[in-house]
Amino acid sequence: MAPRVLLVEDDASLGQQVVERLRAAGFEPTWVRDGREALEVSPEPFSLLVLDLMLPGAHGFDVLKKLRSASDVPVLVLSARNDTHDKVRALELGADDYVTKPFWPEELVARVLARLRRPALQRSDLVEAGELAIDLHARRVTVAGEEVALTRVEFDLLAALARRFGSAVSRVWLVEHVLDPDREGTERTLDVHVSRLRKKLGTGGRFLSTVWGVGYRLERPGRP
Amino acid sequence: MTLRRRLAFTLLLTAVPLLLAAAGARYVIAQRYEARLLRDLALSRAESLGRERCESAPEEFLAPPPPMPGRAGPGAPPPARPGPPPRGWLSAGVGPHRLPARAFVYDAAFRSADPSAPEFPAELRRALEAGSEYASRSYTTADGRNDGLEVAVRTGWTDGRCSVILARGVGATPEWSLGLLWSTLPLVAVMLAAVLVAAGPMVRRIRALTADVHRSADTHYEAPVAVSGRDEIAHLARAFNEAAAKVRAQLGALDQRDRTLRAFLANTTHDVMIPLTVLLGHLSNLRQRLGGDGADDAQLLGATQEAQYLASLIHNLGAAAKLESGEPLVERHPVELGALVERVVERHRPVADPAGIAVEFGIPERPIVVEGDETLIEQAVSNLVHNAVRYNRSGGHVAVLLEESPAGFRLRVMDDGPGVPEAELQRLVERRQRGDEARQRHPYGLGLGLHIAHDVVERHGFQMTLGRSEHGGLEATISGALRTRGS
Repeated sequence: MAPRVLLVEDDASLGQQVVERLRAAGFEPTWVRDGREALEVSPEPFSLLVLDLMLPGAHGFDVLKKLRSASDVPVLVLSARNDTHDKVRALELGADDYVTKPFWPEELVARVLARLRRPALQRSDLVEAGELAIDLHARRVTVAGEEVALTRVEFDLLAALARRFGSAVSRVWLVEHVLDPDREGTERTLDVHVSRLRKKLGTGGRFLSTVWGVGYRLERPGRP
Repeated sequence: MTLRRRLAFTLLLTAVPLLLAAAGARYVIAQRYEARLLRDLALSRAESLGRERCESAPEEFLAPPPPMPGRAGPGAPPPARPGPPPRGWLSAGVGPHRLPARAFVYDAAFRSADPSAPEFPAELRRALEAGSEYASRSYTTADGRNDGLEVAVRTGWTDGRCSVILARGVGATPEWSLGLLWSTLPLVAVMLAAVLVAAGPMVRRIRALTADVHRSADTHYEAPVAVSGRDEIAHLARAFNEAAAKVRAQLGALDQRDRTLRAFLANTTHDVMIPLTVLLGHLSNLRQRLGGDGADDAQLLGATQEAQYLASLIHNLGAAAKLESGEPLVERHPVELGALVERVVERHRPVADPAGIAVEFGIPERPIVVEGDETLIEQAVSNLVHNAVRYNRSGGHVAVLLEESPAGFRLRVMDDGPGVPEAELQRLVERRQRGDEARQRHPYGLGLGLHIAHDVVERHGFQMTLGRSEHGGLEATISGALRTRGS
């Protein structure tokens, strides 16, 4: 079932666009245009709330206050004013994140996705990317069910990326935290290890990508 | 020069010349008086002796009188100088030194039958010939020690050997005249002391007023200065209070105008943000629908970039208004840089992706928290990323790398774009570009955005360096300290 998102936004054109975008991104949006109305809506069925602050009827802060007294649903605030005070106040009142206008629809969708993905990021011992599966606890790696034998450093490297699944990890950090400081310690050695690891993982190696200027990342499948 | 010093100086400067002038006047007046006295003595003596005696024995005329022992009193010692007193003795003497005066007679042609008579002074002779009844002048006595006084007077006996008398006496001396100065010095000293003592309370009040004025200025002229008494200092204090009220009113008006302008800017910005967001939405939808369709796509990409530029300009306008106000940063809150980097990158991806530029970021797992104004820091980083994307080409890369460093954090924005020529880079690093240059839109006019980034970094106490990236393009690095716990 598609996650339901409640949008509180008074501007007709903007609201329409956001609704369409959220729908296109696979959410089921409900659109409320008025602050008073927003105060009446029960947050229960929604996975996330996108809240504009400047609303007719009731201010976004009031909506946020009322909501937080009853629910922990993630709230993404649309801040029109380029004003730090509003953002800080929103975060103090329990908002989880904000997007400053003007924003690209992609930007908003990315923030919503990031917010909804976060609980899934909770530490799990098993990380899966396509046919690649990494069991952090048992220190086992399989590709399409077949176990791959890795050296200690290769596994530590893969595990470090798996722990930050989908995020780029810098080369410097990997050199400092994964490689044995006594024997190996240059970014060149790191590159050699990665290239060996890719070879060993076969088709699963495509999820281990180089991030320009940063380092390496274990990709989430489905991401372009 | 302090007030006291000036008072003392002025007093001495006026008193000393005044006293000198008084001494001079005293000398002149005494001299005249002596001259008249000598004249009267000579005339009265000549008259009492009679013309006949003079004509018959001019060399003995006006001879000193015989000694008068009776005057010396009983038992008095005999006169110290034996023999007859010097010739020409007129009286017991005039003038302060009581030296004997002598007199000689001359005929109308100023010749004397008395062989001991001096040659008649030419100066006095000219004065008498010019018609004066008598004339006087100073002269130096033979021993050179005393200033003498010579008086020439006509006797009225126009023919014969006794028509002019030349009397010699002693006049006033400059030393005697200066005696006035010495005698008044204590008085001057007392006056000086009095002036300095009287200036004391005045100086103290002026100092108090000065301190008050400083205090008032420190409170933006809210605190008035104390007004006491009815003298000029009180007038000054009152005048300052009135001036301060005017300054306050003007400051208030300026403040009000500033607030109105800022509110106007904020409201306008707010009003622009919504249609601009809608515009971005339409552009994004169009792009999705066209999906990389040749010429239209290039135009759409152009429109997308311009819209992004417009949005960044408006944000920078807000940031500039905050920075240029010159006020200290009001907003100081914990700012998590990792989330901030993520937001900035997501903001620029919708423009970079269709342009074929990959924007990546790397942040540490641990949150990196600094203290500052989140909007400003985000705008600074956004400006760096915006420049890196804007001046890159298709197939290029931009990376934002946030790392912990021993000193705190290090945030690097790198690209592999065409970079900036060395000379230009130097100028950018030197930062103090002129405003009009900063606003240019030419390929290397990294301008306003970079300028604001610099300002933001500076206001937060961070550092920013610009240099060549190891990947060929530009690398901007911001570094600084983390938020200290509990602050």
